[in-house]
Amino acid sequence: MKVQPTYAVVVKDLTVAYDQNPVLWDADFYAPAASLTAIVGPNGGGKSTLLKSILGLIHPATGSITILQDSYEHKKDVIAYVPQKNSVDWNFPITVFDVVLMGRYKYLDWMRRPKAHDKDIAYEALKQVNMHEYANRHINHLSGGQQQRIFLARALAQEALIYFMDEPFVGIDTTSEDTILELLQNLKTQGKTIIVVHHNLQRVQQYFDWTALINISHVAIGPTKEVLTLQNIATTFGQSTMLETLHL
Amino acid sequence: MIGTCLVATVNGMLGCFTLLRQQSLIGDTLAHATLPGICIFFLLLQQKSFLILLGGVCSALLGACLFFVITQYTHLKKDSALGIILSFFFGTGTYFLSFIQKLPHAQKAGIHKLLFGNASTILEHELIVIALLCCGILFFILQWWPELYISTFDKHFSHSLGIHPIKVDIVFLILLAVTITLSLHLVGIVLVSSLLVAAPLAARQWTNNLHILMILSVIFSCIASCLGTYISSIAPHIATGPTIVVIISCITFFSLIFGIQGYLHKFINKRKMMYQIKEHTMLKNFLLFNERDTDPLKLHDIKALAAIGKKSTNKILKSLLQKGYICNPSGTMWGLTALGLKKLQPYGKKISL
Repeated sequence: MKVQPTYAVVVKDLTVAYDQNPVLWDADFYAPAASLTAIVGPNGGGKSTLLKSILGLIHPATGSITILQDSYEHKKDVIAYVPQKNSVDWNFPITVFDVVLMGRYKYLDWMRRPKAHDKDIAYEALKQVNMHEYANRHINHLSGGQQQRIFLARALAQEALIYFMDEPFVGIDTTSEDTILELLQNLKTQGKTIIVVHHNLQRVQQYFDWTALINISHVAIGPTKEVLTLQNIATTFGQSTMLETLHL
Repeated sequence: MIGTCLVATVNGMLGCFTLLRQQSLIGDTLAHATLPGICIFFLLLQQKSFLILLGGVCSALLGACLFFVITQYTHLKKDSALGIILSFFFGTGTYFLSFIQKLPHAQKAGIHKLLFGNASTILEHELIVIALLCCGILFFILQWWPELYISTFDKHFSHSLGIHPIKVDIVFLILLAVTITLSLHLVGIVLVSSLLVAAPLAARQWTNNLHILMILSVIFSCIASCLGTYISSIAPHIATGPTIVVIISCITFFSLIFGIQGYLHKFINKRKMMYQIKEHTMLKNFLLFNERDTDPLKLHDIKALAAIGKKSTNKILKSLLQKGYICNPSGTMWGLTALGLKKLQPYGKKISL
């Protein structure tokens, strides 16, 4: 008998509209605990909107969202978010280390100053993504891949249970992508849940154990091997993508 | 002078966030928005009182609310919203000012001094109120420091941490409205925004570190404010506000040109980099010539090097000679040294004729 997994995140009948245009319509989503979950779909399919709705950054018109059987408000301390790169001001006068230290925000005491322990954790997070040598560098003097890695380090510094990442691999070379995905798999073995919006179907098949195909609504959700079929991909992306992915 | 320093400190710190949040024009708008409130409170009180500044705060807060509502709930862009609010409030204020000027005791009210500032008109009890409010604002900024700088840097991430961006915007606008009203005695309605913007802008040219930016901004603001107040006190016909603004503007222009992030530094660095590229290209030319030769250290005539080199071949060769990458054993003949060959190792066999 198949054991039903415990779900870390459950979304039911989510509808989000911008100026009366539906971006998500009756969408479901669920991610098992201690899994590496991919949210895959075409541009404008509602992937980022789904993520932002779960995090309370966007207010949905309808639907229910639970995180670890509770609301986001009660669980936000155990959640880490890696937003898209373009939401940041890259000319801000701040170093790489200071960005990662932001991940320790919820541990600040009444003096509002990070302690030595927080700085150690931030440095350790930088080491995990191989960016510790750049700790004192200004964020504007980094490549796209390096910038993405410091966001990941910031999320690691939060020591969360669930990680949400919105297109973290944009502009990253294949080698760096593999390194980061191995790091995410390592987090999964520690019992963390990682939910990633990703475009590369090959990488999804290689690294992710749970996948949700989204295009305005959910197309298929489940174990990657069962979900990433040619039929489902065609329904989500259209015929041309199906032909490109025939070698899957 | 104490009041001046405190007000300058608050402006320097808050101005940094105004600059980083790209909301520099809001300061100007809120400053102009204080005028109707000041005039209305004077007409109600019928005497000069520190309480008329309370009217300024209320009026500025109303302007801030309007700005918030317009930008959140309409499609109007920020600069358009600021333009409408500034012109409406200042126009209304000027209308009330025309009533006040007809009153017999209008000159004693000193309202016209609020247009361009006059620090010498601050009384002792007013100074105490200003000092307390400034300390309160500073305490608040320090307490809200993480929220302010995280939400300024990355709005979405800060929201995910539970720092609601709208809450931060509201708090920031309130702090700004109070700070601007406190600064009216010093710089005046017309020029107060420059105190908010110029000092952080000058400081930004010297550092890429947020804490040092704050400190420098406060220092520049205090220098300009204290100097301006002193000059205004020894020459009463000179208004404080314009004097302060001229001094801080000079500091800003100086920083824009000579600062570490300024134009001159960037120009010099760019020239250095271009020169290094020319030197490197010249070294690689030696490699090009030597590719078909068994002797990598073979000498070449300067005319041959100049033929494929860029301009200022002589100057570049002399620079490379000083660094030990090439040698010049006789007149016009030049060759690579072992050190030069070692420098070119990464380029190996990549260059070919």
